[in-house]
Amino acid sequence: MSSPIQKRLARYLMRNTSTFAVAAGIRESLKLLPLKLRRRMANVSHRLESCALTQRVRVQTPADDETRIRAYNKRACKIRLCPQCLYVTACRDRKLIMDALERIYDVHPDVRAILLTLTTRNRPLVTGLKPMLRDHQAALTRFWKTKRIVNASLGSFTAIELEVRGTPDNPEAGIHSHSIMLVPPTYFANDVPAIWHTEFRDLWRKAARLDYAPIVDCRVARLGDGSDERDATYGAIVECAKYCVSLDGLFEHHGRGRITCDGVIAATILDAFHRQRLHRFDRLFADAMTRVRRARHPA
Amino acid sequence: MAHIEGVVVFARFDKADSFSWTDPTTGQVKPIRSLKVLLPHGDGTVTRESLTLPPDMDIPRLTRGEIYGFRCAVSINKKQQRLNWSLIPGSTPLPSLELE
Repeated sequence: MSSPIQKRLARYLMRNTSTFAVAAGIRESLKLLPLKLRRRMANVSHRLESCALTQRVRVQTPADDETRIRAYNKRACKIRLCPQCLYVTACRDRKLIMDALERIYDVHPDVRAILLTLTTRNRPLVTGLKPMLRDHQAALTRFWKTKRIVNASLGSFTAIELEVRGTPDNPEAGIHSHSIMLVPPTYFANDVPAIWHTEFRDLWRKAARLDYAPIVDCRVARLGDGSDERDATYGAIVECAKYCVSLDGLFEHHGRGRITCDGVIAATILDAFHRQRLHRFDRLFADAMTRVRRARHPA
Repeated sequence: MAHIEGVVVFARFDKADSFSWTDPTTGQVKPIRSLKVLLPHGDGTVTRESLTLPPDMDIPRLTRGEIYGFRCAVSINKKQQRLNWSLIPGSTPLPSLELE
């Protein structure tokens, strides 16, 4: 068994190789893309490649301390399909949101959290991703404005996520969202929730204007080992504020560290997610986020 | 004359730690005590490991920064792909061995 540090280092190298794979995939499929996308994607491919080339990892073992891995990049591309930049962004966002939650707990110590996953049926990735994202965003806006939800909750944080599903010949887009809904303690009067799972599903079905019953998951943030519920909520933030694109379905592994990526799929995702806000904050969360941002960057 | 058998972890002692864990089934608070040590690996890297103490064992008096040999039982966490160490009840940390 290799040491844990070696494993972590291997993950950094894997992310670096994946960035090269995305850049190569997009470059090779430029001719297959619509004309208006070609120039932008050529630029994206170039940025990804220089990001991968300038990535550096330093392994340091200070005296009387454990080994640390520090990754740095002066020319980070910050593109949503660059695994290393996605990782850095996810870590930064997670910290910001956790700070916001800490501020919320300072003012409202009794507030409780519900984890909500809202989904719709998959659609063909190349043709259906953009409308699916647009529909999901509109449905989320309607859902969080529903009178029943507004009355029951104190605030929410929602992260939209894309999962590439289906087969390599017929890729499908699975856009879904993870939310943390903050509720007052009275929400669970007599240990019964104010909104049951079926009601959440009906509300989401109406908000998304669907003619079928969508898959909705709702659960109280709680760890099985009996730890504090707040710890579970912080853990839920880690689950919600992770990558906006699940990269598993994007890459093909051919063994011996060789990774390839379908350039058309990558370009479609980048085009659909271009200048889209994938994190949404409501009321308590929005106020806390504003305070956190102001504290970090005072005017 | 008794001989030492089994796994002995030679590592640099860092600190003794304690965590109050609430049993979800009974609601009782149980302290989980552990020794934090710096364990060097063959490739030159060092990781901080936790050696769990058995419930009826007192925390041994150790000096921070010194190397000791800890007799441990090892289990594998398959999901996280890591080893869990727990001290053998009644064992006392051994002084480090010098290499010539």
